[in-house]
Amino acid sequence: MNSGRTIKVQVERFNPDQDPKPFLQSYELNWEEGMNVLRLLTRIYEEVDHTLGFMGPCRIGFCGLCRVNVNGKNVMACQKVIKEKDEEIFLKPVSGRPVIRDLAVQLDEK
Amino acid sequence: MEAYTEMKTDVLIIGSEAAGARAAIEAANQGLEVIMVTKGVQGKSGVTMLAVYSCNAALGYEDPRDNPEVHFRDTIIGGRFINNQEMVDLYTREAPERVLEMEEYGIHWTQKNGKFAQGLVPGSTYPRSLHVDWATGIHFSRALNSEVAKYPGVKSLNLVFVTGLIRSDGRIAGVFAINMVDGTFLVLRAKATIIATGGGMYLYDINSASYESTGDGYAYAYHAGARLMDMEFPQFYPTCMAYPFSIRGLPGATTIRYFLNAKLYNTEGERFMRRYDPGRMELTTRDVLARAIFKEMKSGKGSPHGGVWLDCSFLPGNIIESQVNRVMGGKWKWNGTDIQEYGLDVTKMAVEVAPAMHYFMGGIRVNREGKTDLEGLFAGGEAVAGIDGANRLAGNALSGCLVTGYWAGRYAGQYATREKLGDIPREVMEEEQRRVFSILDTHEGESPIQIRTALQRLMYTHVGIVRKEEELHEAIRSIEEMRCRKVRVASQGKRFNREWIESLELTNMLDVGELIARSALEREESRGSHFREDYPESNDRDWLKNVAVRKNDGVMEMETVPAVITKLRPEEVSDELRKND
Repeated sequence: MNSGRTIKVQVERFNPDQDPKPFLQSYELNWEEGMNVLRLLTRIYEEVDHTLGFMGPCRIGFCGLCRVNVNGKNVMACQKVIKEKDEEIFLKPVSGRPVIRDLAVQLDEK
Repeated sequence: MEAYTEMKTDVLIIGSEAAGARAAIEAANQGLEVIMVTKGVQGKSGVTMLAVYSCNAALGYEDPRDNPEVHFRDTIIGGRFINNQEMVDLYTREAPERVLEMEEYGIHWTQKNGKFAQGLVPGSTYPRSLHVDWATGIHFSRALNSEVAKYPGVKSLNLVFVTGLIRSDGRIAGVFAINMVDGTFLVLRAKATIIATGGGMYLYDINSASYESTGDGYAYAYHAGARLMDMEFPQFYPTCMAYPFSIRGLPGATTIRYFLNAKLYNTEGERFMRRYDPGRMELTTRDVLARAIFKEMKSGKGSPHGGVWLDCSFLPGNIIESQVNRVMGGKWKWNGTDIQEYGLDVTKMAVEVAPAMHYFMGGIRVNREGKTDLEGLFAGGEAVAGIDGANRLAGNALSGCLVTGYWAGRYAGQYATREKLGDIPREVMEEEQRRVFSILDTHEGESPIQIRTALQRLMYTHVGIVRKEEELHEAIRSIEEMRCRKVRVASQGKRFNREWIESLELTNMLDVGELIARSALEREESRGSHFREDYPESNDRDWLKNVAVRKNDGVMEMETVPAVITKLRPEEVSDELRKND
């Protein structure tokens, strides 16, 4: 499962309460077979940086709360599996929504 | 004292999915103002949306012999006779109406010959389960969500975490909460409060639910002094994915067990079900299967990532493909997960599976009006005990939520019409603010994530599928030790501070874990989903009872109460029938 390979992730971070503007933070994690972007974020939050903000409760592509911009494309984090060839992952909040914190964004109020 | 925002309403509902939303509709129907809060996002939180298939209602469309009496009987047999028969009787009679209403709310049940199709699921005598293809839950959520939106009297608050109930003058007067977006403190005052927070599946290392399923509602009710019941009965779903970790706990792998007769192997390549149930093998009942897999894992014969192997690759590829076309419309999607994307090719390889925590049968004790032991407090859905007994009949969850959510909304509404708002003593609020905010000022200790992870492992190994006295005692001691560990969070900022909210959830989870362990210790027999290695048999003579627990003088006070049996006794059901579920 773990080939000793690591994966580099750059995350655009922003806490509107304290940061003047968004900034990039790099993380490096062990490669894991069948790792999707939601699992990657969960691992950063649990193992490396407990301050990372993101959402994604359902894990099966229904709730859409894990939507995030991966390498320039808006996708659901739980549906985007990271492939061996993906050397570097660049994550930003999904475009066009106010940021709550980091990758967690405000949704339309109904 | 911290600044705070106060809001007032007639009925306050904690939880926004099947039970909460249905309660909101019923309370709003009485012309009342409703506030519905969720720590997630309405229509997109909890586990309603994860429901794959079945929603039971004895409409008799598929087989005219089906009726609420048969549904009642199936539910009681499934629940091993400790369900509250008064509640089940009402539930089975009201389920058809509640389920048909869902069509008015905009769900389009799958049809057959001009009527709603009803599928046959294990444990049911006749086909009874309405469904929307294989994604019933998401359609269910959407329909309820759009119906709630039609009521201007219902105000939904997303990303609001309730920290506890407010007790005032011998009744519940609302809740304290945190707006998770900016971290501000909220005082939500209500004439009646409804708990619809679902189960506590996330207490277990491998679970089929969401990180939101932390059992908060059980802890709120317990701390306020309400009785809980049947907490020893969480239910495991036997063959969920164990690996890759991204999809750990998801139930999709069951597809190949049901539809392709997939076989289970331990790491030595032994088809171990021969030792546990040679007659039915992999198609035995959920509890037998879960125990067998767990025992293999525990004896060191598990697969590399903590599971066992499930395999259908012995079949020619074209057989597998034709079945995928027939059953899943040609898609390799297992309940929202494209397994091929994860490098899984079941025509060539086995997959790792393990039992996952799936559902809580027990919960807050309510009467047939959804009323708890406490004045002003109501509850519905998976958060309550009574309908499921010792094991939930497959397909009863969604319609159960509609029926008990309806009760809670209706009677909480009537209560709110009669009552006034309670006062909130200032010192009570200040004490809660201190508890909640002091975590942010703690500079020593460990992350709640670390303790939560340890609790999840402990619950899975010691308070899970196979239980025994020493291990339950050990679990209770460990939980007490975990409660004493000092918690610190990395960021002092209040804005969407997930670790801070986790630290508050953790206190709830530790209490719920202890409630389960102590209830499991109390029940010295095996019944339904509760299996005691030291008491492997069911004992109807001594245990047609419910284990109830409440907080008294700061400790968990256990008691056993006779099960409410009004219509059907175990001796009236032949042994053969009992074995068949």
